[in-house]
Amino acid sequence: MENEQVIEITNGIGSKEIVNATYTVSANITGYDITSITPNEVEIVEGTDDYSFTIGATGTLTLHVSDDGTDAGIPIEGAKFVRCDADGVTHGDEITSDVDGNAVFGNVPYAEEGAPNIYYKQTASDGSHDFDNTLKTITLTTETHTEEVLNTEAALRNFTLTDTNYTGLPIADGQILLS
Amino acid sequence: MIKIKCMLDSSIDICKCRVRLYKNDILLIDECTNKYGYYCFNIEKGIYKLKISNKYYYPKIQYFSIFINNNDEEIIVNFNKKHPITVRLVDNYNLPIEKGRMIFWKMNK
Repeated sequence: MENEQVIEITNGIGSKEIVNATYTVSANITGYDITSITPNEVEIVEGTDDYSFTIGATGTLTLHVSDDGTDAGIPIEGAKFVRCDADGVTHGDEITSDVDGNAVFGNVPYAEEGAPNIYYKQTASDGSHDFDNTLKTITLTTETHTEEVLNTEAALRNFTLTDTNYTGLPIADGQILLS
Repeated sequence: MIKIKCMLDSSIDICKCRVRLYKNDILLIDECTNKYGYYCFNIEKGIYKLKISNKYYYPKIQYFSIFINNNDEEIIVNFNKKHPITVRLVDNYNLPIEKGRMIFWKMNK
């Protein structure tokens, strides 16, 4: 029908030839709240070819960080995570795990079937644990989901400090600072 | 006198819009608008169907049911031009939406 224009979106972009007029806007995007599309009305005018919109989701992904990767493990506070796209490029603000080891991504998409992938990675732990910083992918089929994240205790490392000018002569006392 | 006036985006006269007038599904008039966007005619009182069409602008065909009495009337038919637009859709994290569709419904304003 002439009054309805459908624009296919791929990787955030879509294009179409359309007449100048005012339109109400809706969307059909699996996993997202279509009532949240903003703006929901747009005037297409001569001379303006680019139009931007946002859409929200209502799912919650909790990352529970512990020393054994289970809900019974010792929680780790201060672990940081960030959302990414499929190429690993970061988007949005970092989140940090609290005293219970929970870091929460709100407003993430979910659907029983066909929900889009959620990409994220860990960017830091609490300073005394190792972590996996590779890109992770998850799909939510329910509105809330908790994912267990393992951060192992940092391995014991040995450092030696010797005198520059007398090979092998250990420095008796002092500190090495790593930052 | 009945005047049909065809315009583009409510501002430019369109010549060579095809004007067809029917009574009881019988074609009575099949003419084109002039360079001022007008086609004018006289016809007896009654109920008619008007079909206005254009090759280049949208909607390409428009229909009207009209009642003609003894008064002069002008019917303005507006067409619109299309132009390409790009839309960008992101979520709360400014992440591009991987796949989906947007639907634009034209409002009658």
